[in-house]
Amino acid sequence: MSKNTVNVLLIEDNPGDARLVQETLAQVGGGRFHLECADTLTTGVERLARQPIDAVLLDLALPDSQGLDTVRRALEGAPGVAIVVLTSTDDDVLAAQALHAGAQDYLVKGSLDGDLLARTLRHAIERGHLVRELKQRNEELDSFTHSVSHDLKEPLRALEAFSQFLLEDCADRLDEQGRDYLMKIADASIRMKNLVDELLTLSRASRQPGPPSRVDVGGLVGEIIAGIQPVIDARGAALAVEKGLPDVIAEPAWLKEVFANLIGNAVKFNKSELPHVNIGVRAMDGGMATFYVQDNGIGIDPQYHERIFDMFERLNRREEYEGTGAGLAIVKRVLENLGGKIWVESELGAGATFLFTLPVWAEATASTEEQAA
Amino acid sequence: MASRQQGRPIEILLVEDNPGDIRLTQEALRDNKVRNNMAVARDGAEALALLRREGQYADSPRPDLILLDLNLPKIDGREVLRRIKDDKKLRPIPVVILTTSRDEQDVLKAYGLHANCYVAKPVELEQFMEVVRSIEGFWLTVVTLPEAKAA
Amino acid sequence: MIAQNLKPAEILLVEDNPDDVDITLRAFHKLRVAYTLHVVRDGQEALDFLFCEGEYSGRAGLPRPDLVLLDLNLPKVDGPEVLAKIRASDGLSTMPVIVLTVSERQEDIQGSYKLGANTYITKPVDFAKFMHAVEVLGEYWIAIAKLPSRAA
Repeated sequence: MSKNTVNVLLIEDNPGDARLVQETLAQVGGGRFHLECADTLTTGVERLARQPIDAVLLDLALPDSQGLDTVRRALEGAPGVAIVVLTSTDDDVLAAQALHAGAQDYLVKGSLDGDLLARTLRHAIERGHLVRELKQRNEELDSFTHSVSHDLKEPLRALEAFSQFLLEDCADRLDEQGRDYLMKIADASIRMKNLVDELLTLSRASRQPGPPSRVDVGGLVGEIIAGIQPVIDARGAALAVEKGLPDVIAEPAWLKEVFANLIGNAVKFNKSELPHVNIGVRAMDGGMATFYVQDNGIGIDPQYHERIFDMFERLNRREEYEGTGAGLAIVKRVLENLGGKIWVESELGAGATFLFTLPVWAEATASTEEQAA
Repeated sequence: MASRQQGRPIEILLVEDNPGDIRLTQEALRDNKVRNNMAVARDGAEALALLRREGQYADSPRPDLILLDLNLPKIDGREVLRRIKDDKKLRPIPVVILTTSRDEQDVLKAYGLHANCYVAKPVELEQFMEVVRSIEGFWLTVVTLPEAKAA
Repeated sequence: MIAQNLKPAEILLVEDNPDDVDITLRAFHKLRVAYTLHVVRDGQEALDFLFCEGEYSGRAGLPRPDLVLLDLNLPKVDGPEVLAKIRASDGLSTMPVIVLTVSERQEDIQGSYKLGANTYITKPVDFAKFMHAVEVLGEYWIAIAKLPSRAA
């Protein structure tokens, strides 16, 4: 087979539909597409393992798999292969979910023609390449960040240690200006150390976290609050947590990091006389829950609403951002890895509400997984 | 710290026949910053059965640290030490000899049998508690204990 | 109060990173126990010191150190090899060796304990914690633990 031939695997159990696709593809001139067929997901995945396939046309309703599960299992069976989903009706929601789950594109079975099919397949393959390359570049970047920040720690330790020793031993031999300079060096080295720590955490947050599991959010929030009780008492803060927070699917340690960061910031950097922090759920929709952490602090100017989540932007505005604390970049990265997102609603002088979404754990999720197993 | 990796409490095995010393050691290790569980074996045979997970000890967790008295009934502490350090699986577990003898020969012999450390038990109560806390302060917070490998 | 050795404890520090040497020395300086600290910068020098060879042949007849602090990443001869040679030698096999190194890898940890290291300590990255760890280790091994006598 010449390397210009595109090898396509059709996974479709309905013989009529399969024939339709075959004929449609045959219309595309030049014999450039080579089509094979499998009628169950299992045989399809086996076929993928044997010889390279460039793209998969995937029917979602198969004898041994249904819906989004099919997409997931196909991706597991052949990571990196471009998948174009075939839907029987104009089911936009399912199609969009399939894309979100990792399919490159979708086609409605009733509206196929040779050109559309050919174009869709070619685009899907290209996109697949790009996504793979992007993933690889990101991994390399994270790996780089990790090594650099790891290696930076050693000279930083020396910096901190020796400026400390100098202060201890020679402070009385320096004049006030000299001591001031020395303190500035010591402070700067601590700031740099904290920054490197954050970079390290950020790079770790990007790696594949541990397996997600069911997390009791109410319990988690309770633990965090108990952990910072001394700070809460010292600030005289009042915390209110909604009852009945839904369980979510997440990696527990990282989720704890998210909540700890947001709640901690809300308490620590709230300059009002009677700090209030409210935690709860604002909405549940399409399998995702939108949580909020709201405070009555100084608020954040709308022009910074996106930039506060950037790692380095914060540094330039240290004075202004002291209030938002550290780690929002990490929080954002972690949430994105868990399939959610984060944003803020706030006006200056009117407090801030951090909103973030997470996939809800539902009974349905459990039983689908049991069936698929 | 071993527990750093998993967030689980550190498992300590105390091999000691004197009930008073057992009680004091438990007291001293109880309220500390690092979570730990203490199992007690009252003679050498029990200690070995527990370490080898024989019989009723089939589900016992592998200790991260062993505190071992030398003078034990049934099987003497030196013999227990020898067998632990001869066993490939048990060998990495740090063994701290915690015993009354201050005799140099005993000390030398224990290190010769590959004891990780030898601590002489003070007779006086306050000092005893303080020594146990120092053991905790060192072995549970500063030291990196070897991970128990999956069996 | 806690029994101390009457003579100053003799300690050999095997460490190639000069900054870590300085920090370690300073941490020891804070201890309330008496000690003498020798520093060597690579594995070969460590072996020469311990076996009284090369530039240290003049040490023949002197007692071995009471305690060795051993980094694993050393030039010339690495830490694990130094440890193995110590344990293989009749005269040095009971000498307490504390591995003090940056690695957190299980293979290094397990490997060191299996080779007969008495203790493994991962050098804390944080400077204050590093000082604290050295202070605790010095205090424990010199004032609390009983060290084997060095008489041949």
